[in-house]
Amino acid sequence: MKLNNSSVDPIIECLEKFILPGYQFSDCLVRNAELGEDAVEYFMLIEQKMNQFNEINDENVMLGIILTNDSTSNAVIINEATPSPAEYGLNNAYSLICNLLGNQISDDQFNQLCNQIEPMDSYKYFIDQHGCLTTMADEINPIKVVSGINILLSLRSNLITSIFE
Amino acid sequence: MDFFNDQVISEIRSFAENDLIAGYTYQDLKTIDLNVEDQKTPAIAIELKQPLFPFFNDERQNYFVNAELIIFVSPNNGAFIYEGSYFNDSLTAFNLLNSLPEYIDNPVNHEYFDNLIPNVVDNRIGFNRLQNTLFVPSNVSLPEIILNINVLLGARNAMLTFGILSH
Repeated sequence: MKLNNSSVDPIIECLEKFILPGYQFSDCLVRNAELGEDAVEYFMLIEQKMNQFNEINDENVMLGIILTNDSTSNAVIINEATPSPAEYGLNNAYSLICNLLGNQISDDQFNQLCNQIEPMDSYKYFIDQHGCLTTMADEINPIKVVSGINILLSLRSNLITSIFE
Repeated sequence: MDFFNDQVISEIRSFAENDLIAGYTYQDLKTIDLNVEDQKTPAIAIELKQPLFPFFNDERQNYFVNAELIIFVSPNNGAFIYEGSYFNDSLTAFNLLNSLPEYIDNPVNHEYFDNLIPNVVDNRIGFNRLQNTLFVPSNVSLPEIILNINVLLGARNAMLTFGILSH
């Protein structure tokens, strides 16, 4: 089974209802994937409330989560979008915490923070070559995909908490 | 009224073992009986472990606390996922905040917590003042109950984050 509009619709419906508290589903865009001629990716635009970290900060930030098919299986790859300040002001977790800190942290420091929140050997997530949080759902199933998205969102929230603390 | 048959329990356990949000580790699942609306009501308790990182960066960042979820189907009102403290002295978000030295002299009260929920979390989440517990009402459907487990844990984290960072 492939990701297509009819398999993504139930995922969106499920995400709107069960997204991690502190986040709100905003939009889903279909785009051409970088790999594969006829491959598409589904770009979930998500808004994050920042007031749990800082009571005077009512500003929200935007992030993107990209769903793509794994080319060799029925799995869905769930990947943070790379930062794109020009496009919706998007930040991934890495660039957001660097912005909040006012300086760049190394890949090693970022890995260590992630690992202290959720050990990487739990295999719930990994960090791709662009520093984006990534996970997989082993099939196109709304519960599994939404749970995967929520794992990434919770990791992101915990990373931000660790910076404010 | 036996929603929690072997198949359902096994699916909930599998979810708790593999799909909880970051920072929570499954420890155990037990079946219990609760008294809900004066009726003996079957329920399950899921025991979890949670590190105090990222909430603290002092020596407490290496400590763990027990957390617990209780899931039951009310005789009249759908299903509920609650924070619990049935086993292992688990701390609810409210009790955890009030156990911190910085809150001992200036405790969080129920009204403060009630007012904070719609602001910091959202209206999917409720607060039970008698038991100091956050809860999520759910339809009586296994997929919805499973998905609401992470909604409750996410709400717990958001309340802990706000409570600790704002102090």
